This record gives sequence, C-alpha cells and structure tokens, in this order.
Amino acid sequence: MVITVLAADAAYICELTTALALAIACAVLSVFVVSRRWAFIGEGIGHSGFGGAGTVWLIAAFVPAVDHAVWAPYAGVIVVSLATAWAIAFFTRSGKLNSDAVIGIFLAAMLAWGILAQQLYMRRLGHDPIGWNVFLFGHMADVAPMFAAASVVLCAAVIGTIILLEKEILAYCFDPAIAEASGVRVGFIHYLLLLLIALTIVIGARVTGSVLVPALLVLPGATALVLARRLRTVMAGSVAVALLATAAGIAAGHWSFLPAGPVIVLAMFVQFVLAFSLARLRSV
Amino acid sequence: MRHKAHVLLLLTIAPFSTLAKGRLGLPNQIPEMPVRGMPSDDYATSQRPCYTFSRVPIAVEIQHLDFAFSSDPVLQGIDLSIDRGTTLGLVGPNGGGKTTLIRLLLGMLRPDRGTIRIGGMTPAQAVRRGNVIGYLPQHLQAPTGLPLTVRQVARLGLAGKTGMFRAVAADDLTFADSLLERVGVADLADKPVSTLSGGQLQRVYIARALAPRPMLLLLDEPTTGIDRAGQQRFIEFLAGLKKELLLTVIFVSHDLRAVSAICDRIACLNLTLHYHDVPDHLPPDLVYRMFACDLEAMGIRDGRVCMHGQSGSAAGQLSVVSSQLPIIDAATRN
Repeated sequence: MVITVLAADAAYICELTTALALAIACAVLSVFVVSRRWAFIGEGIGHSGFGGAGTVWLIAAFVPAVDHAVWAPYAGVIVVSLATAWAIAFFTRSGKLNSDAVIGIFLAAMLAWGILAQQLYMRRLGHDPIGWNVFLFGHMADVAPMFAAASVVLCAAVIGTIILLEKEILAYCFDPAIAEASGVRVGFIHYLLLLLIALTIVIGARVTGSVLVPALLVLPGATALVLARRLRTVMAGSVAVALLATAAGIAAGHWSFLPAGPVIVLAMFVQFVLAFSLARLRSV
Repeated sequence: MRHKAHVLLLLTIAPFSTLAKGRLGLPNQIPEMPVRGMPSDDYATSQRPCYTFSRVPIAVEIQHLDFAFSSDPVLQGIDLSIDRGTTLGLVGPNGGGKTTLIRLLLGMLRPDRGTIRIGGMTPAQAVRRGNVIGYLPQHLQAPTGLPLTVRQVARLGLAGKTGMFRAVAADDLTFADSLLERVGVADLADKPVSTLSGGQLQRVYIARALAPRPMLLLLDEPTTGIDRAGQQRFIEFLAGLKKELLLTVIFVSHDLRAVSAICDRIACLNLTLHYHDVPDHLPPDLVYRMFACDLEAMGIRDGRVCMHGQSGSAAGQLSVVSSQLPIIDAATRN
C-alpha cells in the first residue's frame, strides 16, 4: 500500500524527501551535539531561529518588498541563529556567567522577540505574517520541491563536512583543549558545526517547527549512545532511529489529522525509552 | 568543458587549500641553532657563573618574560634556555606560575613582555604545525561523550599535524599504533576508552601527545595524586620513552622527589626563576624558602648537581639519596 502511494503521490514524495534528508543530517549532528553537551545550545539556537524570523517580519511590516520574499524569514533564521551562537560564546567567554545561564537568557529573549514582532506586524498590517505558525509548529503540507532539494543539499553538506573533516571534528568533540594544543583549528570547527546546526534548524523549522527541532538534534544521538559502544555503530543507530521516527511522523501527518512534528519527536522518544530499557536489561 | 570544470574545482578548493598544513611557508625542519653561551640567572651568578656550551639546538628559549593576570603578576623576568634532548624539571609551590608558563608555551596566553621561542618558532607557529609540542595536562579529561576506542584516541593526536582535508599519512598511523605498544596498552587498543582505569588513560593520553612525533613534551603534574609505586613506574616508563624518542621534556611538578629522579636540570619557579643550572647544590635554604620544608625531611641528602654540557667534565644530574628512589648518576644514565 505504501509503495502504491509513493508512486502516485508527488507531494508525499516531496514531504518524505525533505523530512528524511533532514533526519539523516540531524541524526549525524546529534551524536556530536550530545557528546559536546550542546543539547541546550541546540535549544537556544532553535528558538533564536524564531526570533530571526520575527526580525524579518518586523522589517516586512514596513518594507513591502521583504514581505513578498518567501525566502526572507529563512535568511533571518540563519543570520540570527549564527549571531546567537556567537553571542552565547562571547558572553560565556567573558567569564562572568556560565553558558547555561547565557543560553537560557537568549532562548527566552529570542522567543519573546519573535512573538512581539508577530504582534507588531499584526497591528501594522492587520494580519499574521505569512507562515508565522509554520515557524513555531511546522507544516509539511504544500512543501515545495525547491525546499526538498534544499534539504537534500543540506544533508549532503553535513555528511560531506563530517567526512572531510572527520579527524578535526572528532579531536575537537573528544577534548577541545588538547585538540587546540595539537594544532587543530578549534574555532573554525566550533563555528562550522554551529553553522550546520543553524542550517538544520532552518529546514527543521518547517518540518517540526522551531520549538521541537532541537529534539531532532538530541534524541537520535542520545538513543544510539545509550545502546552502542563504537562510533560507527552509534552513527548508524542514530540515523536508523531518526529515519524510522521521521517516516512514521510524515506518514501520520499525511494520512491522518495528526501533525507530523510532534509524532516524529514522540516516536524518537519511544525509541529512546526502549533503548534505555534494553541497555539496562543487558547490564543486569 | 572538462578542463573548465577542473579549473572551477581548483578555484573552489584553493581558498581551503591555504588552510592545509605545509602551505603556510613554515619551515619543515626545525632550524639548527648556533652554538651559544648564556649566563644563568642572578642567583647562580652570585655563586658561580654557569654557561651552556651546548652543541645541540636549543629547544626552548625564553627571554625577559613577564606575565600578569590583570594586575596580578604571575611571572617576572623569566630567562630560560632548554637544550634539545634534555629534561627540565620545573618545580615550585602552588600558584608559583608553573602552569601559566606551560600555557604561555602552548600559545594559550600571550606574554606581556619578552619572547618565547620553541625550536626557533613562536608558540603559535609551533602549535599550528602540530608536530612540535606534545602536551599532557594536569587534569585528564574523563572520556564521557564520544565512544572512541583507545586506538582512535591515540590517533587524535595526529589531527593537527595532518592538514585539514588531508588524510593522515600511513606511517603516522603505524607510529601511533606502535606507541600504544610502547606505553603498554596495545592489548586494549580496540576497547572503548571509557572502560580504562586512570593510569591506563594517562598512558593513552601520552600516546596521543607523542603520536605526531613532537620535539617537546610538556607534562603538567603527571604524578600528582598517584601513589609512590605508581610514581616510580611512571618515572621509569618516561625515562625509557624519552631516550627512545629523543624527546625534550618539561616535567612540571611540585614534588621535588618525582622530578629529581629523571630530570637533567631543575628550574625553580615562584614568580621569578630562582634556580637553573646551578653547578653544585640545590641549596637547602632555597628549597626551604620555596617549600617551607627541610631537604632532609623530604628524604634528600647530599643533593649534588654536576655542571652540564661542559666538555671534559662528567655530565650528571641531581643525585637523590633516598630509600624510595634509585640513585641516578652519570654512569647509570648512559
């Protein structure tokens, strides 16, 4: 039945391609996010994406040209996500606050800013910004083929980067201080990984919404790390978890009233609980 | 058309290739330093002048170094020269500036005044080359996070030496694997590094530090928190390793006993350099002032340091007469 559907439904193929490519990219990155303890950073950057879209909506309220540019909110998401990542590093390095507090500050502030911008737009133009709830909660119907292509390109970029810079990324994620002392350009690797995370958040905001997209950057890796002990097995397990959950969520979203995003995240959560239980049983 | 594609590809890659090692015009060989004599610090001069007429290149040269954290001076007027192939013990009380000096050597901090040269390069250049300095930090990072094997962790040391977008050379990988054997963890090579004990982990991290075949090895308090037997084993292990790999070693410790068993020279650091290359004794009153304790109470009697590097005289090192540590003199060292 699924195969027949796949052959017949181009829109479904678009949705599936977008989501599955994103799932692979997020799964691979999540292993590094979890091992570097960046789960909360992922959260902060994810919500700051909404602030980025909000900034663009505020500009669009006064500049009609921006309002008509479909790509503009996504550009805002990337720019503000990266700026937030930089700001988190900057305020943490000052030494007066640790990164937890700084991330919490930016997470809340960016979310509030996004909501405020949406309200200002509404007041000025009399309607919600186009697609504003999509950025918060995701919306998989009517996803354009261009978007699917962008998702595939992102996936290729993530995998390509990991392959090309494998030894630097592993050295940095295992021990950044020693990596720096042995000549690895840790600053470059740090911001490169954050750039890839920001890009997945741009795509993921459409699939699951910016509220839930950080889960895609944590759950697959965490699930695999609970069960597997070798890096390759962890990577493969992470991708498998993400693909399974995403396929289930997209199918649920397409064929029922359920929204794709929450189903994807909950399917990952169920797998995590199962994996954790299995690991506990194994060790007993 | 294909030719254009190749040109386009090269133009795309070219900006990245400048990031690759070996393209920055850095020397491939550490330059031979001229023969030189250097007076030691004031304390020694007041006793007897001491000159290093060494014919090997100088591994580390520090001149007129000052460093302060905001208004809090940590290092003042440091002049230090370390010959290639020797082991320098860097001792001093807690807060004396030992770890700060290590961080300055690694380029993590910039001196307020003065210069540091490692094999003729600045610390930043030396670190960027990736095969000049190996570092074992004081607090070993517990391996929570990435599920790597012991072999993979040892090979991480090669990441900086090999440039970005380049594969690690096969002989480097072979050398890293042989180091695992040398440090005694070859049978654990394919085990997850998270299952190792503290001592085994330290050995893996030493293998990681030595994998790029560095000229200089920095050990920051490697025997702190280890029992006497463990310290002894570590010292013997390090002695063999440095001989085999022709390392220059800086051994930082506040434990004079651990240092004296292996080091050719001792530098006492407490804001300023109090002692280096003093010909005869490690003065009891200096040790007392630095550590507020008695040489004899530490089990060190008749401490004797010979002059180093001077032709014709016996090169030797600090002799420690102690029930715990062996007497190491010129005969047994060579």
